[in-house]
Amino acid sequence: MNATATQANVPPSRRLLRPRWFFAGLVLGLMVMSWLGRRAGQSDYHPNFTRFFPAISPEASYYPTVDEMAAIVRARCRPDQILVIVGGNSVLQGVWQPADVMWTRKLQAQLGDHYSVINFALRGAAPADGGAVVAEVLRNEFPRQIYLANEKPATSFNALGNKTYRFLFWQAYFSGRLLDDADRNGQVRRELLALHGWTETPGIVGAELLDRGLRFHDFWNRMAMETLNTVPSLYAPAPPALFSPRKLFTDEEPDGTNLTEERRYLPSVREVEMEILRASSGIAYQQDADGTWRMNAKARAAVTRDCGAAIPASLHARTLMLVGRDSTFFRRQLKPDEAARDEQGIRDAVELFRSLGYASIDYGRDFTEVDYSDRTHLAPSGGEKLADGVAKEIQSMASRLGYLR
Amino acid sequence: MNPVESKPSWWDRLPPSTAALLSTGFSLVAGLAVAFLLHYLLYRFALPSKPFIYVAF
Repeated sequence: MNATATQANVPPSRRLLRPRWFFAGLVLGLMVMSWLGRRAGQSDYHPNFTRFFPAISPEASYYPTVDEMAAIVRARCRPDQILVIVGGNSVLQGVWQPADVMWTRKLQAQLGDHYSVINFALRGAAPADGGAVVAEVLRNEFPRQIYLANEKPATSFNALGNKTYRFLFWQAYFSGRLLDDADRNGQVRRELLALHGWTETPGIVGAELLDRGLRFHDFWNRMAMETLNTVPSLYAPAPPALFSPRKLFTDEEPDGTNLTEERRYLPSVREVEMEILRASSGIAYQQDADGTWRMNAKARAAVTRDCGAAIPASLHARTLMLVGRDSTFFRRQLKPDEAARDEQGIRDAVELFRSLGYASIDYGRDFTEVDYSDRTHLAPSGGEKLADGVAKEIQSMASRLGYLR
Repeated sequence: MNPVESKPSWWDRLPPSTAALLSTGFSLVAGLAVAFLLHYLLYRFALPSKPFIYVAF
């Protein structure tokens, strides 16, 4: 007698596993998990949120979701307040600024209770990453909103942003929560068609559609934050720390105020830092016969095209682009014509953003060496100066946009 | 004759209605458990395999 015949002879009441009930349990289980995931993303589970510091960021394999970030906003911004979402990179996140003195706290204090400032800047992020996605998702729920980010002179950014943070864009895009923008749709199409490897595009689209239905990111992020973390990281590579909920990690950003010059501007990388500073405008600028620096036409066309299409045009007026200067420690080492080129690059970047309909200001002109903690990141004193300038521009934007009526 | 084979197991000795109820419950719970595991695996597989290392520049 073979095994199949043996199975067939077992009466249904004697079979341990009943396929119909197993699949009923499977479907029911996935439905329950999906519902729990949806619920997990609906309320804020970052009661002491300051910013996405390293232990709760992709650096520690923690990938916040759009719903998680939207819940952070809802828990902090009242309907009568103007929402100010800070995006951009580590400079705006406030690297070298402890949470209690980080520049966005000072910005909040300067702006007062009519505004709610939320720091969604991410290390190494581009202007269209993270905070930009969440601000756009919340455009109808918080119509009085200002989004701000930073970028270097003569540098392009696109709608898809930095690859590390693109998961947020895909989440919002594939759940239909972004504006229908033809330029951006074209960028998405080109990106998905150009990806290398036959699994990459189906992987992105499939994972997003599955997550849209099953909400596994929302559920397991909340589980990791509140109860049990299961993803190893540099900060908790092995048990027992690995299993500690992420809420036990605190924002321990060091204070860049009292660093020695050697620590602030490491001698071992000073040459490299100078090269980076020179290159920021050097690669796109050429000098005319009369000595004036001009961005070359090809670079200007590319920056204009990319920056214009990165954020939907209808959102440009409420977007503030900051263009910063590097530390005077390095800038004073530039030759006169290099310094002139650097300043020209900053002026051009601000004008270019304004020509595209963005609000834009530069910062750093009156900052001193001790206002920086390295070439580009600001010490708390620099953060305070940045907050002063940005607060004035935000108030001016709020007035222009009719938010104060 | 092997005495072990001939002896009915506890499962065989259960009344049919009880066995049916237990197998239904077991199947349902097994389905739920697999759903839970699948949900977690989808989450883990969707995370990037290479960690992001931030370098300021």
